Amino acid sequence: MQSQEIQKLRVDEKEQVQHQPEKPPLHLVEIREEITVSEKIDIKYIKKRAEITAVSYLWCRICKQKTPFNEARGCDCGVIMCNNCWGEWDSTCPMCESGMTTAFVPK
Amino acid sequence: MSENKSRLQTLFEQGEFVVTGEIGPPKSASGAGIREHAKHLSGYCDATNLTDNQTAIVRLSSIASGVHVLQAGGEPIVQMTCRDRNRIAIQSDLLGAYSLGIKNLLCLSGDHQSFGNHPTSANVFDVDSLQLIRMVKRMRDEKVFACGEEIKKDEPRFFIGAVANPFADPFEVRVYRMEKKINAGAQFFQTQIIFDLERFDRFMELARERGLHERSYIMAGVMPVKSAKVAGYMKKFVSGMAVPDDMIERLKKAEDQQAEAVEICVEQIKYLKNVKGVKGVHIMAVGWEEIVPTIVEKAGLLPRPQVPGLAQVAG
Repeated sequence: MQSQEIQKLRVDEKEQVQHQPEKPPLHLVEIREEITVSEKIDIKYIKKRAEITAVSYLWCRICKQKTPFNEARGCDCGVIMCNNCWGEWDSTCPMCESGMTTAFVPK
Repeated sequence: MSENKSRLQTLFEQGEFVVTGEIGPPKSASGAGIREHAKHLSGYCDATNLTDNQTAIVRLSSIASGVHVLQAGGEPIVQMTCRDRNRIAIQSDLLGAYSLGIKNLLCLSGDHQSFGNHPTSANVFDVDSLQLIRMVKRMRDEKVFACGEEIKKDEPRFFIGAVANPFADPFEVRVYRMEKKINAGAQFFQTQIIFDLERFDRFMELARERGLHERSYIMAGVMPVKSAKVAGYMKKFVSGMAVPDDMIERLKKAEDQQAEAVEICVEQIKYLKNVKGVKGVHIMAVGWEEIVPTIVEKAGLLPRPQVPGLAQVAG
């Protein structure tokens, strides 16, 4: 079935070519360029890899906003908050009530 | 072979009402705190969960933490999430964990990494929690790795646990999901923290209808909530958690909120102990581990049962 279709296409193309108006004959133009070869060929391989960088932001558990790293606080129990929300929650962890540290200060 | 069974499994099989606790490993390379907590819980909890980078925050590994608990004379339940490892790493860690003497494993998916301290990190989730349970079961019962290759020598013979959340939506699916986990190989369950006892009752009713309480050991999760503020936070900001308003009100009105929190937790345990199909209680005292012995004592769960042939261990 498929080969029949291909065959048909070929026939159609042939017909199209036959029906096309006459064109001027094509000719080749020879272009010559001088190529200079250096003594040493330098091959450079560029390997791109993802960079592991310090985290620039964290997500506040309360306001669900992206918070810059140095404006967030973390608790040992796992809660991460932005400084604003931390202030609103009496400056303690809302989960375990411990004083949260500014653990996320980049060094 | 009975000598391969964990203390936890033996207690369940003896028909005991089991008590487990939880330790969150530290964000450092020190195991001293874990050993201290394990000793503190000794004689009050039959086994202790070691969380696996809980809340997607880098911590001491759960397997290493499990070894610290063993060194302290305790019985660890190592948690294994699917977030951080592919199936090769998981199986490798399972072999390692069992070789170090860990016999209880809790399989779970894990919190999404965007909530933790590496929000841009990649997750894995090569297998989900159901596939993980199945994989562990096959390693134990069929002595094969996930690829089908035979484990030629000693296979890891874990007592396989899973988690269930009766409070996530849609409610009707919860029991089916639990059943799927049992079919995959889960032998015991620890539920999400229970505050809404009425909803938990309905969940257990559905579980009993399907006979799940006879096919697995279901442990009810409880948590002493330190204050009304903590309860309010959990109600509003912790997903999959149902905190009743009357509990928050009760805590607000109390003169000593912490004492009231203990009282509420004890009442819950006493209630849950009488729910048909509940075989134990899992106490998650987040950041308040030192209160666990008081709760266990007040709930009338002492003395903890012993396993013949094993030294008194707990933690």
